[in-house]
Order: sequence, then C-alpha cells, then structure tokens
Amino acid sequence: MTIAVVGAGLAGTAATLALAEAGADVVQIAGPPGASALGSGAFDIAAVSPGVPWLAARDALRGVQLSALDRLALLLREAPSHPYARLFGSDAAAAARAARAGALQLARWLAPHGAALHGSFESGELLACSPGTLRPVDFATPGPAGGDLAACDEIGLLDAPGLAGYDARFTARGLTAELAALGLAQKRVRVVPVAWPEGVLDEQPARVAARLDAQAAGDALARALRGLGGAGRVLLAPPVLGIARTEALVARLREAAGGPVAEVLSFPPHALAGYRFERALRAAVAASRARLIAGRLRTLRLPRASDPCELEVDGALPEKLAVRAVVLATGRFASGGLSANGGEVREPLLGLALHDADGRRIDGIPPHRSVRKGYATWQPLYTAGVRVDARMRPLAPNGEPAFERVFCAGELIGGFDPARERTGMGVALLTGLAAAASALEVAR
Amino acid sequence: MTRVLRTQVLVIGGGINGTGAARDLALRGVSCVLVEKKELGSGTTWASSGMIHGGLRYLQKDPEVTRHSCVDSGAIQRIAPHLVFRIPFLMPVFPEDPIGPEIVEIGLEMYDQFVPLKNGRPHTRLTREQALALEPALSPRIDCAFTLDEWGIDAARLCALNALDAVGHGAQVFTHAEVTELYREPGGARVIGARVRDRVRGDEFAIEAALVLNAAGPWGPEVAELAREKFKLRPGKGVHLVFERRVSNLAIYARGVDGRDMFTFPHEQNSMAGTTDDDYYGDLDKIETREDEVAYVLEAMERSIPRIREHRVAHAIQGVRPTLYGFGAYEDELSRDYRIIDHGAEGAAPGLFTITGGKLAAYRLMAEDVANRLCAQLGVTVASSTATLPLPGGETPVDPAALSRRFGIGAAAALRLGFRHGARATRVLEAAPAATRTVCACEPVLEAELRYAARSEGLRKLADCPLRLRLGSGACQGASCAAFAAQVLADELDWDGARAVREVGELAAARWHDVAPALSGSQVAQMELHRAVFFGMIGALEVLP
Repeated sequence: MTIAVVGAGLAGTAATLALAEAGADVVQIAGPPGASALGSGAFDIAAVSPGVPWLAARDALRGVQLSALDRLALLLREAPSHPYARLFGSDAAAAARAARAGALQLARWLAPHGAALHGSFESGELLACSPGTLRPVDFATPGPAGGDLAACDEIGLLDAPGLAGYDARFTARGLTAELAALGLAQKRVRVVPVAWPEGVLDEQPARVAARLDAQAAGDALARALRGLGGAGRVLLAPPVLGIARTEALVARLREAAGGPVAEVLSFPPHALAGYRFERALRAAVAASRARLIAGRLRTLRLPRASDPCELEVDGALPEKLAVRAVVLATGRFASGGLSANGGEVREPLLGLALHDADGRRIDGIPPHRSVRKGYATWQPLYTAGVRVDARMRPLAPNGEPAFERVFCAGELIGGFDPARERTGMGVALLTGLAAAASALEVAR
Repeated sequence: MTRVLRTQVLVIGGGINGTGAARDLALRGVSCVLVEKKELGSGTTWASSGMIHGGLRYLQKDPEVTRHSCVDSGAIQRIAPHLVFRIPFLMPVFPEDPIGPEIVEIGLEMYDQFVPLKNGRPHTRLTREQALALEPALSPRIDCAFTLDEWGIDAARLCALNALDAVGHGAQVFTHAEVTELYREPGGARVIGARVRDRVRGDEFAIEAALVLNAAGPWGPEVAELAREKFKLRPGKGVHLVFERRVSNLAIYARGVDGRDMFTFPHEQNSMAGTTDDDYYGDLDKIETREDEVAYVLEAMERSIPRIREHRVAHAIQGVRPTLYGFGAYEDELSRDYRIIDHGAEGAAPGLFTITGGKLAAYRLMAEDVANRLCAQLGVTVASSTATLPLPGGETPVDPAALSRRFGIGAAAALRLGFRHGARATRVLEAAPAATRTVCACEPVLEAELRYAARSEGLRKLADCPLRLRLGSGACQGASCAAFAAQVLADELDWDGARAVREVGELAAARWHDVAPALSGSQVAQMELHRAVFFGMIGALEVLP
C-alpha cells in the first residue's frame, strides 16, 4: 500500500513523517525547495495579528493582547474559508489542541537534526527582525529562539561591520522606535562591539555561517562573547550563527555570554533560518523509513477507483510509480504548485479548481485580474488555491470531492493569505498531518 | 516666520524641461530655484522611452520636430557621452503590410538626411535571412527588414545631471516641494513668487522671484491655474512594459492592431516595449496602467517577436505627455512641437512663463529657447552654453577597468558607475571607499553610490531609488534590497527607526503599483516572495500604504 507525497516543504514532510511513523510504505517526491526554505526563523500557528483583516481591532503588539485560543477562535469565526475552519469548524479548543500536539510532534521529529522548535503556543515570544521591527511568534527555530524581548531589560545588538543585510545601529534604531510605540521605552537598546574570530566576517551571511560551523571558530566567538550577556540583557546576533550546528553553537554562546543569545529574524536573500529548517526536514525524512526521490512530478494519472494512481517523475532517473493514495503538497507559485504561465492561473498537475478566500473561481484567468490596488490590501490572487473538505480532499467546482484518493496539504490549499495572515507554517503542519491521516485510511 | 528665498527665476517642475531650463539659466549666471513636488524626473520624463531619437514617426507631418530632435540628440551625445547608448533598430516588413519595402525605403532615405545630425548610420536593407541571423527573436514570417540607428539615455539620470549642474552653478533645487500658491504683486497682476510646501518635512517656505517658469509638464495647467491663467493641453497617457531582462539584441519595430508604430528595445539591463498614446483626463497623481493597455502592447509585439509572451514583464511604467492641444486629430497625429507661453503678453499674469510639449530628444533646445526669453526680460545677455559645456561626468572619458582595479569593485559595478557618473565615478567611490558592498543585485548598485546620492545629489526617499538609482527596479522589485538600502539611507539621512520602516513600506507599495497591472508568468511567484518578505519584515501592516 504505497502512498506518494508530492512536495518536500513542511506540509509534505509532515505528511511523509507521519505516514512513515504509522508504518505506511511512503515515497516522498522532493522538488526544489519552496516556501518553507525561505522562512525567517519564526514558526507561526496563528501568531497574527498585525494586519489581519478580521483582527482589525488592532494587533496584539499595539494594544489588545490575545491568547492563543482567542486568536484561533477569532480566525475560525471570521475566516470561514481558512483551512483551519475546514479542519476544526468553529471549535477553537480542538484547533488549539491539534496545534499544540502537532508542534510537539514536529519538535520531536526535528530535534535529532538540530532544529527543534522552541517556545510554546500559549506564551509566544516577541522577537526582533533585522530591520528593527518586532514580531510576536508562536514558536521559533533554534537561531532566533530565546531572543524574547518581552521579558528583558536591555537589548545588546552584536556589531558585525560589513555584513550584507545587517547593521546593528540600524536595527537598534528601529527597535528603539518599536519599543517606544509599545510603551516599552524603558528597555535599553545598545550596540555591542564584538571581536569576531579572525577570518570569519564576510559580506555574505551564508559564508560567515558556514565558517562558524567549525568548532574552533565557534569557540572563538564564544570567547569573544564571554561575560557580555546576562543581568536582564538579551544579546541579538546577526542571522549567521552556523548552518549545520546552530543549536549547539547558540547553546555554547549562551553559556559563555552568561545570558540569552539569539539571532534577529531575517528575510531573503539574507535569511538562513529557512535553509536550516529545510535541511532538518530532509534529514528527518532520511532518518525515517520513507523513501525519497529527488525530482519533479511530471504527470499524475488517476484511473478508476480500484486501480492504482500512476505517477511519472523526472529525477536523476525517470521513474514510474503506482500508488494507492497521493498527498499533494506542492505549494503555490514559488514552488510550482500553481502556475501563472500564459497569463492564466492553474493547478498544473490535475487541473484542480482554484478559488480565492471569497470563494470566487480564480483558475483560467490572467493573474492581474485577481489583484487589487494597494499593496497591503487583501489580494485575491495570493489567497488562491484548492478548496478541500475536512478530509483534505480537493473539491470540484460543484463542491463534491474531485478525487477520492488525492489529498491536499499546505499552501496549495487556498482561502488564506500566508504572507499577510502568518498562519502558513501552522497550516502546512496541520493540513500535512490531516492529509496523512486521510491517505492512510484510504490506503488501508 | 516663513523662510523666504529670493531668486531671479523660480522654475516649477523637476522633469527634463525644468531641470534643463534651470541648468541653462544657471550657466548664464542667472540665480534660480527649482521646486519639484515629487522626485526629479518622476513624471513624464521617467515614463518616456529614454530614447533621444529623431522620431521617424514625425517625419511626415512634423519634419521640424524631427530636425530639432536630431540636432539636439547630437548635442546631448556631446555633453553626456557617458550616459548615452546606441540602439540599432530593425524594422521588419511583413507580407501583409500595406506599405511595401520600396515605399518604406523612400521614407528611410528621407530620414537618412537627418541622421548625421545625431551621429547615426544610414539605414540598410536586409534580406529575410540576414535579419533573422542578426536577430533570432524576430518573426520568421517577415519579407525583409531595414536597420536604422537611434540613441538611448537614462532619462532620470539626465534630469539629475541637469539639476546637479544647475546646483553646481549656484541654483537651488528642492524635491518633494510643492507649490501651493503663486504670489501676486500687492494690488497688481504680476506673479512674484510662490509658497512651497515640503512634503517630506511638512513645513512651508516662500520664494520670491523676478520671473516664474512653469515647467510642470502635464501638471502645467494646474500650476497656471494658481495664477488664474488658463491654457489647454491634450494630455496623452503612455505606457511602457519593462521586461526583467533583454528580450532582443536590437530594437524591433512592431505595429499595433490600430496600425500605430511601436517597438521593443533594449534599455540598460532591460528591454522595454511600448508605447501607448491615449487621451487622458484622469487624476495626474494617480496614473495607473490598465490591463487592457498591457494586452494591447503585447498583442502588437507578438507579430514581430512571436515569443514575447514567454518573457517576464517585471513592471509597467506610465506617464502622461503634455502634448499641445489639437482638436479632431488622433493622439498619434498631434504635434510633438513645444510651446512657450508668456502669460504677461498672452494672458493677465506678467512674470509667469510656461513651457510645454516637446520631446525628450529636444529638451536642451527647448531649455535654451525658454531661457533666451527669460533672459531677455531680465536683461541678461549671456548666451546659452548648454550645447557645448559637458554635463557633470561628461568632461573626460572614464575607464571602468581602472575603477575596478583601484577600488576593488566588480567589472559590472564599475561599468555601471562609469555609465551613470562618467568622469566623476571616482568621486563617488572616494567619498566612501569602504562602501563597496552591493546593495541591489539586480543591477550592481554599490553602497557607495547610494551614499553619494543621499549625501551629494539630494536623494531624500527610499521610494525614489528605483528612479534615481534603478535600485529595486529589477526582477525582485526591492524584496532583496529595500531593507539594506534603508539601512544605508537611515545612516546618511539620520532617519529614526519608524521613518526607515515607513520608507521600506512606501517602496514596497510603489513597486506593487507598477507591477500589479502587468502581473503574469514567473513575476507572480516573485511577488509572492515580495509579499512574504515585506509582510514578514514589517510587523504592523498599517505602515504599508
């Protein structure tokens, strides 16, 4: 009873690992990295609130502080097309339970590979971004984790002259303004000079990070930070604290500094957190009993219900597979799950019907017809995706499941805007797990 | 108390006409203040094709325009040799074309007579095979093709150079400075100055001037209205599509479904395609490209370049031409000539002049003409020297290889600096020799150039960088460089954190405005990333316009 998972981002990998753990014979088809590999290091279930239309009553940062349960309840009530609403109806408590359990499970899978999730869904953390802005997050990956600014008295930004995309003075200036806007001006922000180990600093963050993976360089940096932290001070570093061994390096630095050390959240092209995350996902699959094929799914044929699904993969070796069920976690535009070629928006593999968060059909029309004026306004195009039922089966335009043995996960599912709403990681995780459970049922 | 500046001439409008006039006046020793309500060249100039061509199109109806343009194109090449680039054109002839190659060639022979004025080469006639070998992007359906020779320029940089040279000769230039009122002589009709609001700082100041020149392009009638003067334009909206990279080696003529001449042409790192020309009566401050305009341009291009739709349109640019008024003619048939209005002689507002209409290629000639008129009133007898005195950087040739060696910068970055700054490229790097980091990778914009623009060239806003420096105007539309550039500008311009974040938001929104109407293909994925980056970066989305 082979099950194929198409996609190797968080959604596809969560499905793969869940299936492998359940004893299924699972094969993951891993194309090029998608959205999961571009993350900032934040891991949000529903960290919202900035800018989310249904939380227009101001965000958690600037006024109303909402508990995790409140946030989910609001989301389920105000956004009926959101994948969470498909999964949990209006039951916020169930959603919170599933989110907590899912995060624990993911943390367990990733911990051996140096990418455990930190934080808790209930408490959350207030983290700094490299441009000097602040973000509440539900969980964080090891680099930025532990940099919670809510509790500290002083923020020390490690200086790293010449590094692209990071400027301690600039970040300090921004944080000062953000903290003042929050009424937290009593927190001191300062730039801390650091004697970086010889030959480590470079213009390219990735190069610095790779150099810091070496034990000697890491030790030298730890020596340079000795005694700089502690006493209510959080030390914030540029996002370069190793690639393969970040968790261990951060632990050493904390010990040496005598207090919290964490990276600022960073964004492409200077972000490494997503790359580390992607790396850990792949390592977890490699350590599981799942089989991995690196390549792109060329065709997916679904004959009669009794016959297997046929897949053709373009990889190092072209391969044909026959499976009982398929989990599609191919993402949206950046990872090719949706295409906009020829001026038309489509789901290229099966031609699945696409809808936006208003329920409007969005496939087969040029993308520019589904955008609106105003950057920060809600953009239908970027909520487009497949509609699913509670079992994650894609729906045909008539509202009936289009296929019995295909299940969708992650951003391929439409009805929400991952960039604006900050539920992308949570959706990937929870729909990935749900799709795996459904696939297991039909495959049995 | 309101700050008052006193000057001989107040120029309103920082497009090519305003900056050109300011330079001409400043070089004659006339004191001059220029105010621009947005950024230099951000109106019509930015939206132009950036070609300083003669306008083959105008040859039939307006040979004087063609002649002016060719003469002045030659002058621009002399004074800004570093900033111009040759654009060889291919004009394909299709079997179904109503005008056969023989007739086309007669027209080109006429045009050849003007071509030496702008250092162009005469046309040649190519067989189908020759043309396809020369330009593989061309449609194989052609009968034959002609070559002709034009020149391109970075129009926004040309504006900036004119403004900089004016400043170098004593003028003052204020950007983001909007005229809110024209002052009249107490008890009289004479226009004697203006009240100006700084849109960045929010404060006001006053300028007293002997003469006021309205060079506000399509906004000209609005400015004149402040003195209760009326004149009419036939504003024509034009849209260009900007491809993420070059789609052809040569510029290629195309024909719109309505028979209009259009073209796809290489421009710096990109190719551009256009343009449209439609009567425009909308809000001049909210000009938007429409989907059907994008479709019209691509439809026209497809006949000449069959695979044009496979290329990625990064964004559109749009502007409105201040075309002279004409009744009953199609947009394309309207004169591209210019006009100088003396509102004292022709109206009831002595002291106010308007310059309007014209072509980018003839900007210098227009500036000289209007400066002559103003100088006559001021009693200044110094002649114009703008045709011979080089623009900043045009004094001596620049050696990019030497720049690259001396400052340790990449060859592409050195070429770019040489192109934009000419002989003054060394100054840019000497001012910040450690700032050799690349801020924007789409085109290698160095930190040093960004610092120099803020420190020495009057750059005030991050959102002006795509125009000023081409930063953030490539495929990524600022996603990779906005935060980095904001760091540099915050340092130079002493922005606090909140201001820097606001600037980043404004840039993101401005890029979306230009991208959204043409959004297609892989640019859809690019903008997906763009949104993830900016929304992730900026905690509170209310900052975003």
